Amino acid sequence: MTGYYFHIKNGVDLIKDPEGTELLTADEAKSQALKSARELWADAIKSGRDLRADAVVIADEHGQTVTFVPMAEALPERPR
Amino acid sequence: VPLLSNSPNHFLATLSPTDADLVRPHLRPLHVPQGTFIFKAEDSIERVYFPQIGVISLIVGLTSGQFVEAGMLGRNGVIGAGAPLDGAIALNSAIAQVESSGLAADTAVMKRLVRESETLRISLVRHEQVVSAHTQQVAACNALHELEERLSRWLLQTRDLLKTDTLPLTQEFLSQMLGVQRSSVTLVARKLQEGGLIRYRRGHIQVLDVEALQDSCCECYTAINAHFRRLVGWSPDGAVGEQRAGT
Repeated sequence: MTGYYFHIKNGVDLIKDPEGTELLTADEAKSQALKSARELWADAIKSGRDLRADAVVIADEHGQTVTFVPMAEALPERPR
Repeated sequence: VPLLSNSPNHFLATLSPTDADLVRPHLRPLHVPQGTFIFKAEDSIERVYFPQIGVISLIVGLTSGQFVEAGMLGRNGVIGAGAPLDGAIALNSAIAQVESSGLAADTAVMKRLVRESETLRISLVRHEQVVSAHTQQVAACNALHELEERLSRWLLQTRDLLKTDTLPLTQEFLSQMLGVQRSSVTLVARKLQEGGLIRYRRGHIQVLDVEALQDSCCECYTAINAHFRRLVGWSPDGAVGEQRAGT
């Protein structure tokens, strides 16, 4: 198990995940970040408020960025 | 077991002297460490638990492994109140959200006692009803209210049960209970913290401004308290007088 942190980047602001969570793989972390990003969109849309996030940033226990999910990537496809 | 009229548990404290004498010899201390299940859905409920401190969450599990909280009880209630009333199969799961201790009695014994005392039976019925009222309110709240309102309600309820402003809660646990992603809790917690309502430290949430937190709640906090006041005569500040079953 590895500790992953899910911070939220909003402009120059980084809203830090103070606790982190134990996950088995980096893929699992990425999938959780994607779910988080979708939920942030969903809440913003449902409430009609601004989306205050650019990306969900995944960091490891040493504070190093592992990867990030830009908010745009979390939007669903629109099949035509 | 000392006199029940001084018990921190509202059910025990408000029993009539006769009912208290009936129940008291059968009570024994029970300690429930954080994260321990008292019962799981479909278990046979072997004992009725009267928490004196701590918080017990009633949770509904899904086959995916996810679960969501349907309600919480502590010093205000009874865990498994329906068991001696021929409802010994657990409808949901009960887990110690915050380490809890209190008193417990065997379901079989309580079942015998409620046949002896109508007022004891009524008292248990009321406590089972208040759980139902509470969980129904939470169902509506989960469906329609925003996370900020729900989180505020949840923090106030937990604070009322623990009678302290320092709540031993992780954000991971909060997100599970409220059925949302961690990041959503991070965002809302940050907003409440910036507004001076709470302070977050690792593993602990400190409530700083109760009035502001009440303003930030949905109506469900007040509605749940109204159910407790009306059905079992409990209110968080204890200002409402004792209400005994059958009076």
